[in-house]
Amino acid sequence: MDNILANLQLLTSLAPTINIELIANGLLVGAIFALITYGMALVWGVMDIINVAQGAFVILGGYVSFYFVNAMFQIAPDTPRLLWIILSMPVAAVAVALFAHIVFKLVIERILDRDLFVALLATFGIELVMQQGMNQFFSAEERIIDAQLPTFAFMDYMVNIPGSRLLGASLGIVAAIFIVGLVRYSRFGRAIRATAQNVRAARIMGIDTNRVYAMTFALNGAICGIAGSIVAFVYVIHPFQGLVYTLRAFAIVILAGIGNVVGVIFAALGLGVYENYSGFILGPEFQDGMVFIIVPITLLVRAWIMRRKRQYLK
Amino acid sequence: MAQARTSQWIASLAFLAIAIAAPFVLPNNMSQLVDLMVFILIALSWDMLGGQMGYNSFGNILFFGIGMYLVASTQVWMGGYSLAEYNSAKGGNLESFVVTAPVYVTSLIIGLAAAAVLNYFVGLFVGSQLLQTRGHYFAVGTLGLGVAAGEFAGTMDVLGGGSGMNFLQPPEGVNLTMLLYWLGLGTVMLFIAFLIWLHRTRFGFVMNAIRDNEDKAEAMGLPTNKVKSVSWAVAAVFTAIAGGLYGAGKNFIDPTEVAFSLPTIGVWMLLMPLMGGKGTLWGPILGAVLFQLFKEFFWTYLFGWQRVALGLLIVIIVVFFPDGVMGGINALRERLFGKAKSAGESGEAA
Amino acid sequence: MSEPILEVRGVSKHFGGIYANQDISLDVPKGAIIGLIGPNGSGKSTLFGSITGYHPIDAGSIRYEGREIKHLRTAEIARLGLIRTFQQTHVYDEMDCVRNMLISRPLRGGDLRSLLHHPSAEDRERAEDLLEFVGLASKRHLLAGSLSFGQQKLLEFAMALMNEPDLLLLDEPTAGINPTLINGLIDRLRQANERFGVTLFVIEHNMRVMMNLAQEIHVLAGGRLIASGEPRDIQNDPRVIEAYLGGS
Repeated sequence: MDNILANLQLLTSLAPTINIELIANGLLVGAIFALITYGMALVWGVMDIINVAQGAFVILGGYVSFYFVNAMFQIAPDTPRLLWIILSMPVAAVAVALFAHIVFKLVIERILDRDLFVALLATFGIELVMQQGMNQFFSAEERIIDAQLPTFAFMDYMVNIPGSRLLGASLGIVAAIFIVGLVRYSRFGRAIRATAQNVRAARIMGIDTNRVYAMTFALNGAICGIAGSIVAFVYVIHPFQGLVYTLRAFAIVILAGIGNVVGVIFAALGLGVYENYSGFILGPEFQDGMVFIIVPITLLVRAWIMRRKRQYLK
Repeated sequence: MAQARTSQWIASLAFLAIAIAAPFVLPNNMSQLVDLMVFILIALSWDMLGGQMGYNSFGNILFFGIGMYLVASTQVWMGGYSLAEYNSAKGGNLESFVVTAPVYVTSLIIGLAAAAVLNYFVGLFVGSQLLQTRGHYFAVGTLGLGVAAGEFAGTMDVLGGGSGMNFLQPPEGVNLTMLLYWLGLGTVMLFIAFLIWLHRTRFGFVMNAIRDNEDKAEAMGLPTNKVKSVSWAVAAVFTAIAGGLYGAGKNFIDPTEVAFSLPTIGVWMLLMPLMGGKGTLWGPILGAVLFQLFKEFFWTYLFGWQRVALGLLIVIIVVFFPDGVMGGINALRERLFGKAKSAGESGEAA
Repeated sequence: MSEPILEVRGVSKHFGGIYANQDISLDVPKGAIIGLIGPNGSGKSTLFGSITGYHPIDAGSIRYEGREIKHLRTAEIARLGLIRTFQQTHVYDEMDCVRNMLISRPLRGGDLRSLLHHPSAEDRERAEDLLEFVGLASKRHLLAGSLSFGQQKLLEFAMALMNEPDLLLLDEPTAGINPTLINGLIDRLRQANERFGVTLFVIEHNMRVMMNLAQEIHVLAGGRLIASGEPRDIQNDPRVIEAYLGGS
């Protein structure tokens, strides 16, 4: 309790510049959350499936990226690090998209028209298999790609922003613009949106909806792969961390609503800032718990608002 | 109707007879038998909402963990020790915290009772809030709550923090697994009798009505919100008792790996009704037995990969056997003897 | 006519920018059979929803037996004895007809303790009687979900009667019913009104049914009440003919 008060005092009177650091860092990681959430919302909106394995896909992308960068480094030690980090993004994207496609063919395709709970539980099972499998293959050790970027200090070293976060956020934004553009303007994207709006009408118009589902799920895999390769040099990679990313994305979708890209961006940035603040004020051991608890809390707030209209969240 | 009731009671007696014989037949597997009783309790509890009412909770682990911590703490407290001192002594001289056999047994039972009462109200409160949401939203909301509880329990130093807490060592003269088994079996029988009775009351009808068509139930003036919260509260009671028994048997509580462990027990408790057949009385029990067999097999022969195998088991059951064993039996019976005529009237909780 | 059991005054309800109900006022006298007609999308079902608390209304007042009910929730309104049925049937699919009936027994106080009993012998008898009354006696042990649409409509009607309502709002009771059975159903509705003393407020597309049944008819078009009166007058009212043929 005392240290919480001390931390609050630090923020309000002693060192208000820390606020700038917390907000900036929060916004930067929020960009990564937005990317992951966009993929989840895409699958949710188009296929009516909540992918609990979303976070495990992200972690898998991180491992692909980690091993790719390390291998390249061993082969060509004199090349610039940044080059391989950036190149690892498409590599991870392709790898996780392929993996997602296998998952789609083996499992998702068979449960498309089943109960919503079935999808939830099946993807939870996939999450468990992936998490334990990665634990077996890659060990439970934390992995990180050292980007060897400096930490930028502002205002007399009161505000410190790691260069890796700046790089991660910018790469995330570039990737997000590319993906949103793909869904907005390509033929494939039009098919996705038509299917999301009305499956039957889409079929009548000659769209192969099953193929759209497969492509959507693979695209989501690619998004997770890119996000994972960013996470690998901004944060750390650990086999059991997937669920945190899944629940973050879920909370953001509840806040923003499905299919609301602008809402997702703002909610993701907000969540990033919220996490940084709760971690700073309560202590780092609270950070994951505060992420998890935001899910039922946002649900309840939405439910209260809807109850005034005598509706409910369904 | 009367016939169906008689067969329920006969099945219960048969189950009781087997369960009484089990410790004598399998004296070397007592801890597995204790686990089985725990599994039956959490499977039947989960099915009250998931099977009978159509609300699929990922968060029942909340009550399991609270029950576990509460029983452990009650025992320490009734043994005359300070909880904070006890937990800060962890890793060192826990041997100095001793209790007599009568104190150990009574404090265990009182702890279980306290866990039951407290969790009734926790379930009532959480239910009155979260059960306002339906479908996907309810499932993932409860998931968030369950894992958050583990994280927060890990921050509380008085409960041993992130490294968890030990149960008191059972003193000489207490055969712990025997004690836990009979306590577990007694609770299971109580729960079965309660469920047989409940499913024939109008309360039980309303639970099914909520599953089939909640809007209609509301349009007909049924108190759906109250029925939902009370049902979850009752499920919380039995889940909490199960948590206390399980923790005492394992003798150690880790906040995220044992007490609030969503990836293990938290998922097993919904996998078991699914394996056996949800929405029935004997399905979850059968599922618990089957699951215990699978689990022992995986742990014995696939060490290291057992959790991967368990995840695969979930996926396979959900994708290929969604109606469970009871569903398979019913389908087989229909194929052999034609469609059951009175599926609703006599087949409830069959 | 007798005093009103339901008084609707100036009720408005809009979804987005579209008014589904606009300034609607009407009375339902106690013991009467009142009709509500109008082209598709004229706001009939919305009005039923407004009355039974499915959505909050934007303006106006709804009094049931002299008591304001616009702020009450659906279940609370139902417990006062005001029950509605649905255009798309709502039954409990996974249960048989008898159980559907037994669940529908009224629960006026909303007290949980009254739920902790087995259904009484009288309840069972009444359930069987009402199933017989609507002509579903032979189906009583079939799952409600396996019945045809028309049979589900009849079951829903029987369930509503089981709830012993004082005022019953029926949303298209004859839709999906085999045409040869419609005359029988009209008789049942009339009997429910006379024998059980239930006031009926009925949405119906079948004008022949309406002419036969209702003592007074209200006509909605474009969310507004455009005419009220006895069936004969309504049939010849130029505004009503315009609404139906003019395609409002």
